[in-house]
Amino acid sequence: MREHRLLPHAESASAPASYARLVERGFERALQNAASLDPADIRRQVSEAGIMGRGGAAFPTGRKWDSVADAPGTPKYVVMNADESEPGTFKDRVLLEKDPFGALVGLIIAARAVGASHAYVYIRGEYQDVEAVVREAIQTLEERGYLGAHLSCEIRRGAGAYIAGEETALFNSIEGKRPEPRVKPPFPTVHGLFGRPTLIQNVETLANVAVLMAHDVAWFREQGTEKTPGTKLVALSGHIRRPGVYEVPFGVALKDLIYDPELGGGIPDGRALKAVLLGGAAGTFVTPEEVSEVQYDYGPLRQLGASIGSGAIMVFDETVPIQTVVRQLAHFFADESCGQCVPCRIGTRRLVELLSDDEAFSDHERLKDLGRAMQDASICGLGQTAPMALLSLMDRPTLLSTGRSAN
Amino acid sequence: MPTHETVDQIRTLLETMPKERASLLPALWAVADEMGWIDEERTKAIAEVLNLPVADVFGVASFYALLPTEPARPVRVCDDVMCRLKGSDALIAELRREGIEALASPCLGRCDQAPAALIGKDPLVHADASNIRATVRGEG
Repeated sequence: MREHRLLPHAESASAPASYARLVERGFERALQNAASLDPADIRRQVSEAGIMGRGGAAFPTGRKWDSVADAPGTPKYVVMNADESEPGTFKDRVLLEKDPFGALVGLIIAARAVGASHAYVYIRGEYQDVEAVVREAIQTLEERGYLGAHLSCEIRRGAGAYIAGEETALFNSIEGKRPEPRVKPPFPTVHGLFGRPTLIQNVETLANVAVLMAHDVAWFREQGTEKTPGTKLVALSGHIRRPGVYEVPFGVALKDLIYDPELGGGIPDGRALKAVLLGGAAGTFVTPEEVSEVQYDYGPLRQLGASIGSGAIMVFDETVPIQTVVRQLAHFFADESCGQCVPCRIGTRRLVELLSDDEAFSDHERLKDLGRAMQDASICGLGQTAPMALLSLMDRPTLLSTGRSAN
Repeated sequence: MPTHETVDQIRTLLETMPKERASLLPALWAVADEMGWIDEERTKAIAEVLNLPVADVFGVASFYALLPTEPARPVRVCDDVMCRLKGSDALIAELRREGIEALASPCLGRCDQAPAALIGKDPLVHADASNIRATVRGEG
């Protein structure tokens, strides 16, 4: 049976932000455990558990923590990135709604591990219902003394800008500037929020730290694969019987994610699968054949040129012309480009213009040329990855064949 | 120049915030939440209270999609990939035909319950013309 770690059990009767929940989930134990450990020991356990960033980049978490801990300068900051805004991605919303303590406890433990005295939780303005739950959970943690003078915690509400989720743009947003990404290096670990060493992590990454500290490294590694221990929250949407967020061990068969009656449950209305977009708007399209073969883990997916990304799994049935999906993605990036750097500002526009013509999809050379310029020269991940989904179609011509029209 | 009345009103609203650049986004939200929208006069008043250049306040306020610049309270309907699969573009057209100001919004992060809408600060999932109408008129 699938084990729930990050998501609480459905039958849990305690309120998500109550002290009873903190205890029930083992998070008070996690906090006490972390408090009894040397900061270096916490970081070592995070490294040994093999936790990697769950926001999309999959950077080894322990290594990031070491570099913040080693960076000179005070104060240091920890930031929870809950500015989830990419089409197809909604796992952090569900996680924070159902179990706000996981990520917050992870944030408190992270602060101890890197020597930070200030914490921020940055939540997108479209999630004010979620923000209310998080606010209540912070209050519970303050009442119990886990937050307070030694570690302040402030919620910052975003105001509708996808780019603010980019880590350095997020710092600028907190600082009261336009959320435009900064040139890296210097990296946030040495020069982050207010120019100080800063640890910024995705919601789900922090929740993994909390469940690790509530148990131990051996327990953590029982799930998942040798190279990628643990579980992943995936967000299923589109033409799927049971859209929603599910927790699965790394290495699960992708076809099970889509067809297992307890997971996606298959494609509705008796239709056939056309394509799956893995990883979000900047992800990779995979074909039904690839879906039936691949394991949901970084290594196997890399061989297809795909990645887990944020955990978004967008499902399209045979009625969908993939060209219209790609046009919509191009429109999204052109809309959300901050306009700061030319390759992204102009490149995302050119993509929209080019793709208005169906013929353009077969002009591989031109698309790859534009894509390469954007990947090489854009300041941040938005421009660098905007052409990814489109380029993934170049190797998969069958996905561009005309879709069966909907009845 | 903003009137003294507006400046005083905003000064009171931002009383507990440190008068520094990092307070700008929370200040903009406070004005939007309490006063409804951020027009030119209020932009200037925020600049005066926080002691920031007006251009900087305007530059930040206008960057974000959710900070209203006028009294209207539009219905934001997600028209990104997944909501579009579930007919959000037709929904937007239908609302406009009925005279409801519907704005196409980038992904609202509720793709599992598409189509999604945002009315003020409140999300509405599995949105259709009738539940949006009921929400908008119910608040009338």
